[in-house]
Amino acid sequence: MGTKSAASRGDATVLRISQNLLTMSEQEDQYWEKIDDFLDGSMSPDEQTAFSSQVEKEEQLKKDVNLQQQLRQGIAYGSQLDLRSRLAGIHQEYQQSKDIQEGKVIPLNRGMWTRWAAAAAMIIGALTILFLIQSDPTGPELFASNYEAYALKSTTRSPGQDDITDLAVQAYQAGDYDIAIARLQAALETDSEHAPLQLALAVSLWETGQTEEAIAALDPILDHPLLQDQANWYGALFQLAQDNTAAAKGHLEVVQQSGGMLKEKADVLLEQLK
Amino acid sequence: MQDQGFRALYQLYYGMIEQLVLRNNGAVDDAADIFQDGLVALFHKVRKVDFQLTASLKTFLYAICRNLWLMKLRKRKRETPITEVHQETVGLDAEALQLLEDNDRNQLVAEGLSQLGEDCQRVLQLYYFEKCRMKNIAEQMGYSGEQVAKNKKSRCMRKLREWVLSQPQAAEMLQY
Repeated sequence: MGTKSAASRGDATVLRISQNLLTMSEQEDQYWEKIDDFLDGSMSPDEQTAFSSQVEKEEQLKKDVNLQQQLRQGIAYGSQLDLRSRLAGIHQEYQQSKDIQEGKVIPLNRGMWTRWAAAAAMIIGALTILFLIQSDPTGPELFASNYEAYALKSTTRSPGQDDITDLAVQAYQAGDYDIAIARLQAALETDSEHAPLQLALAVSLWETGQTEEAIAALDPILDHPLLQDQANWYGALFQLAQDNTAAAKGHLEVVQQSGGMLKEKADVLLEQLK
Repeated sequence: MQDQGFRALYQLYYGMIEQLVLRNNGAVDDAADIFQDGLVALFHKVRKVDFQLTASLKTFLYAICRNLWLMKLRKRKRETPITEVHQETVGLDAEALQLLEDNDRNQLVAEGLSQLGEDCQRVLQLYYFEKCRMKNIAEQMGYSGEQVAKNKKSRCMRKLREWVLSQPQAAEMLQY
């Protein structure tokens, strides 16, 4: 009995130790996962900044981040070697089939089969490339494949009306977004109801990396009678770029319900976000 | 599945790249190298989150291979104006042409990767090379969910880290 209790106590100790070890491993994994999130850039901007300054301050963390970066690089390099050797194999296959074709000694049936096989392979291949490019797109991927800067048209002005609006439009159209921001803000001070300028301001802020400001700049026009669709469309894209799919869906549903020119695009994006 | 895609690219575009290299001071072996490097670069590029195909795949691949060949000619000090075999063009950023460097550090980690089990290798490749999301990795590996894939990735990474750090040359090589 005493031996059994001792054994049970022993088992419990082993269990406790192994649980502690597990917890330690889990904690360690979480630590490295956080480093991965930092290196992937998948933290929120605030977290990213905070983590970055922590890295600067803590020597061990800095070393660990460097180590993880090197491991990631090495894994990618190893994978690249693997891919390269698969490609060398494919090259060999390709050369062999080319040699056979150039020898022109393929019996009719085999030639037919080869052509069918090649056609099938090409179709499968094309689908695969499409898959590589489009499969399971992330928010940022969807943003990248849909985003185009808003095409702000020149304003119709009375002759002699040389105002800041015109200069703002010129800078925006030239892609000088830093200059455009200052001018658009000045123009909006005198004409705060000018929705296209407000949208151009949001896009300019986005183009210069001012994410939060760009999103905020869309607010005044999200229910504008004429630009509601476009404002929500850009709102959705900006949210997608940050992988905020729930917020993006909200904007896209507004575009979808309004049934305007961007409805089809919104339908496609919502489908992809399911 | 990916290999089918690469086979298709070979059928469709290898001839064009071979012509480009042969007409510009290269040999058949050079063409094979350049085309394979071009496919690797294309693969990297396609997996980037901000990737947007702004030209046809043919033009894009041609631009990559053309620039890779120019770089090689430059190294061999045999750079001359290129005779084009495809007229459309597309601008490329320098990053599109950067393949991962063949250095001791990368080789050490790659060796560590090859020491892991097949599943571990694949999970780490899917995450760090092919930039797949956990959901996708779980699907491809037949795991029951994202969390399982995530745990697997962490465990595999731990094994790799331990293996690499146990190598005598690691401390100096990795400055750790």
